[in-house]
Amino acid sequence: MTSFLKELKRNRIKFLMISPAVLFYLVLAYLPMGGIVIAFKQFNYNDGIFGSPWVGFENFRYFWESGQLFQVTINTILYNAAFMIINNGLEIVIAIILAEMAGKYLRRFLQSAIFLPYFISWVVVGAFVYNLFNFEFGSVNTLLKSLGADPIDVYSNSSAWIWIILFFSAWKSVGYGTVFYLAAIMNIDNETYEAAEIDGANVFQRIRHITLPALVPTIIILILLSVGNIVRGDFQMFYQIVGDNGLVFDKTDVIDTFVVRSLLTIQEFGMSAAAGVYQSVLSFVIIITVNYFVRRVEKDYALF
Amino acid sequence: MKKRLKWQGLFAIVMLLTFVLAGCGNSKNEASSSPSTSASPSASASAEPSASGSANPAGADTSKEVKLKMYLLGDKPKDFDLVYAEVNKLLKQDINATVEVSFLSWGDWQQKYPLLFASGEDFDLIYTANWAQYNTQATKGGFLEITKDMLEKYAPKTAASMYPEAWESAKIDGKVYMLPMNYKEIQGSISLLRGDLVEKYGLDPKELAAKPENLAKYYDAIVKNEKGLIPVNAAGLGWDGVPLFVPWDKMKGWFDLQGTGNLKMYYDSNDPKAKVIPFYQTDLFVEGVKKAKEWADAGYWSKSAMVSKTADNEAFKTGKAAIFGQNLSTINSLYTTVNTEHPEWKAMAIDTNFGRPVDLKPYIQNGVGINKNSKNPERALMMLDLFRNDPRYFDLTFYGIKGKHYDIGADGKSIKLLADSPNYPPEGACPWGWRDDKLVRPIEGGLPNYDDLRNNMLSTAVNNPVLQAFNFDDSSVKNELAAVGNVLTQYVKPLSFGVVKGSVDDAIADARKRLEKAGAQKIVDEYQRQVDAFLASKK
Amino acid sequence: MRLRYDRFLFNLLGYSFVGLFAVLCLIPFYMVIIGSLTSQESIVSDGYRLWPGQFSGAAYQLLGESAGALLRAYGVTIIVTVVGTAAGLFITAMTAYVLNAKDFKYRNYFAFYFYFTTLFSGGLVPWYIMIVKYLHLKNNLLALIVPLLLNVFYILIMRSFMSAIPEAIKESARIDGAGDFTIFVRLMLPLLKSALATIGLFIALNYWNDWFNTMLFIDRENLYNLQYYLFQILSKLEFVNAAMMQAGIAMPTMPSDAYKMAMTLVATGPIVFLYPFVQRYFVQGVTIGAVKG
Repeated sequence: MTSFLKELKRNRIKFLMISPAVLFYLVLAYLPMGGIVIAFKQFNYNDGIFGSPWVGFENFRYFWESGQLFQVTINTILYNAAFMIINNGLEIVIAIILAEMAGKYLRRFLQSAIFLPYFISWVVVGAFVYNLFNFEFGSVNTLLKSLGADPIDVYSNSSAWIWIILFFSAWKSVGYGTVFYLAAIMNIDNETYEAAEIDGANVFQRIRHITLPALVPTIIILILLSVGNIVRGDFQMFYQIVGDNGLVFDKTDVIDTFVVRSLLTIQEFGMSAAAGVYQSVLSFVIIITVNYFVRRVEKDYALF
Repeated sequence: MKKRLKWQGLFAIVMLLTFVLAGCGNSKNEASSSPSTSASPSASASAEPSASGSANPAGADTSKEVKLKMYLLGDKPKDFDLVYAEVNKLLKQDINATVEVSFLSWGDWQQKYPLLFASGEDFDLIYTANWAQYNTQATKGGFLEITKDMLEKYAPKTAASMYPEAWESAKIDGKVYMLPMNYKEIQGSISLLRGDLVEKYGLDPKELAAKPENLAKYYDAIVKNEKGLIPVNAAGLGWDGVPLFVPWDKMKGWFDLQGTGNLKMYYDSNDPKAKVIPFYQTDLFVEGVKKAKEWADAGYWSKSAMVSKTADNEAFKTGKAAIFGQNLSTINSLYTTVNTEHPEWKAMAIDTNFGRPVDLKPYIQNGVGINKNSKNPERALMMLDLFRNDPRYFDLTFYGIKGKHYDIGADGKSIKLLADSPNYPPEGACPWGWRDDKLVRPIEGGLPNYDDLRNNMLSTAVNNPVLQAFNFDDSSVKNELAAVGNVLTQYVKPLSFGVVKGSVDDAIADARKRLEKAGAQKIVDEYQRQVDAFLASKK
Repeated sequence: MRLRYDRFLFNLLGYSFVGLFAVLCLIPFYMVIIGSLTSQESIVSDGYRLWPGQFSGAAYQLLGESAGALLRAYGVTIIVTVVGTAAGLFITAMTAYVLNAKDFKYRNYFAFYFYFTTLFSGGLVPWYIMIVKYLHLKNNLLALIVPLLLNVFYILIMRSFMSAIPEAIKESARIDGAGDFTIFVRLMLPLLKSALATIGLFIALNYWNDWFNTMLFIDRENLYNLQYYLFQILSKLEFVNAAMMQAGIAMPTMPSDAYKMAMTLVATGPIVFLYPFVQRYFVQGVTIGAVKG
């Protein structure tokens, strides 16, 4: 306790500087967090959040009764892992290329262009996807037919959707993610580049030995942050692209779509809270483990 | 390592503190709010009335002006404020009150609706219905119970005019939490066809409407000869739990049971024991799926129909599909549109009930509930009484301002729409909760055989099926409903659209097994138990 | 300057790769523009095309009908975005500065305190009750600003950008007698231009694209922000269709699909112009030596 007070006195400005954020999360995150208990209660208005009767794990039962819990959890993790690798890879490559580009205006134009998909909502993307793959009138099949090939029925082929989802995820988010890496590259001290130039390093050597190492902290922090979200699926994306097509759920269903679909006709706060608790606990275990190992390797890279 | 333990301990303390703080905050709020919530309605309901018994219909004290707050569903029509300014003028005169309406729009009402109750807001009235969370919010304690006494005191006209079975149907555990509509609405199934194609291929509309299978002739002619036209649109979004082909003609006397989502259940009105029939377990289901597969393979609907985002009516209207089935009034409207835009299609309506008697929609399909936290429940009831029974209010809220939005037709009963009508479309401002048989007006124009179709359905209609007033309480099988709902979308929906890989029998067996595993039988058993108890209480 | 082979190879590969990706991104956006100008019938029967089957300005006409309300919605969004971004960015950077200070003993505890909120949350109901019942923010613009003010991810990313700046710079300032706040404002902020531009852009985008908070906390039409206002029109379109159907009235074909496209453009337009402005700060050459000297 005394050490705390000493620290408080020594770093009072820092405490003061961090206090707005601390207060913000206290009020908007920690105080409402007590509401997690809803997951273990049969909530009613008269008794309120804390007075409603306890029901133990009753609200969690539908998870395993549907027999899908394991499958959707695995799907969620695999998809997020794939997004993490593919999207970050593309983002790094594109950021490096953009940073090396000579023409200022061309660079800005390309950078803006790849950012555009971010603004197209998943609803609109969903409409386009249907337009592309519709069996009778879709663009893909119209093209195939005009080439004399047989039309393909994408909607009953679950593996095809893995690629479709991966493609659209990259398409929509790479422009956004590139900005982080671009900012990180811009932060690199110019002198280092100049020195390399004098030493006669070629473009590839320079990227390999200066740019990439400088990006490592950014890569790690972005990866760590996505690891913390690895059991949360982007509901809008999956729902709008795949729709209610039960035929392909084995490969496309993630926890969030599964939960929303389950609770479509049932308004039970406790049951959606239960899904949240499941995801939270799983995320917590995963991120604590990963962070522990990162910490052991390089303390400065850890999240906390 | 030691250090880690220490800071995690610290963290635990923070968490604990949070819980305690949150707990305090909440219990405090409960302490302060509970007297007002529990005491005010009952106290004012029981104590006030006898005080001043002269001025008003119920003799309630209206000396203090109040502002009622009502939530309706949907989106505010352009001229809404204009119309409700008129309503408020009348209300001010009659019961010394005004009403302020907020809309919960279609896009987000499902999220907002429960939050209004959960956060304890003190609005007075809210639209509710069996499809609009009536059951859920009532069992959670969101609505104020409406007793017969209150009704007689504050809404005497309603007490007199309401169909007894309508009142009964609103009961949950013996208590009523809404005023249901007082309107006998028939469901039925009517289909709109392309008359030009029926003629072109020499088909007989009577024959088409005789048996569900007979429609295949129409579909077949189209698939074979009309390029670019797919007979059935079958948008997957509107799937309601049954295959795209159902042998309706073999289900005479079967009526829908409500409250289990897409787990379709029926009961046979000729069966005195009222045995619950889960559709997926029947042979008719198998027959339906087989036929659906046959039709799907023949191309009667798109292979991608399941994910189609085009609504069925839109598909028909733009000439992409050749059939559209719905209830009579919807068909009537689509007919009018199509006939003005494409008279060459000679759109025609046929009865596709296939001899199956039509039933009444449940009364609680529309209604208005009173919030538990309402500060003026008696004035709210008085307002509803006026809305439901006084033509001045009824016409305003349903059709808008006379001479601006509508005019009375030549027969003195039906209405003619005027140029401003789109700014306040008839029934467009969510007045359905106070719909009443005596006051509803027909609208001019529409199907030439409208009366035939309607009379035909009415002649076979079963007036009051036993289970009309039954409400399923799903609280003990919520988990099963969730799990089963999932299995239905994943395994039964594709079957319904005739999309089956391999053998139909295997696929059905597999789907049935999964439904059982998810607890479908438990839902059926619970349903049966409640139905039995309900029937026993009637005797 | 002679063209070196490595530069040539890099440019060839790089330009074609990024160029191809950019084309993939531009085509759908182009289709959104065309879609917004296509008639509803044409969209339903032919789908989205590279060239409209049947031109129609109905979607824009619909937006133009109540231009006043549209402008007001823009106004709300702009105010919320500007105020929220300025405040949020400042607090984010300030918090990140403390978390990055090596001499701050509890920085990891605080980092965990923040991060934990991304893992566990009490869910919608208690959060809603907190804002409506205890902070009394219903029908208040602050209800649109406060919830999106801070984001743990941005704080942590900001910290990671800051860690790239050598400690020695801060040390030298400290020796000159500068306090933490002065070092943060005078020294760190100017050095972090590209990081601030990045995070600022993302905070601004979050505000710009938000409709959820308006849906929850705003009942009054004159406080609707842009996204929610657009969303409301769409909902109204579909509703009018449904209501008229129900009442048995003939209805004109509503341009709901074209409207969705027009919505995208109306909502995207202004913020797209912000982006090149932000890009100005993406200039290579934070030459640290210059600051030092």
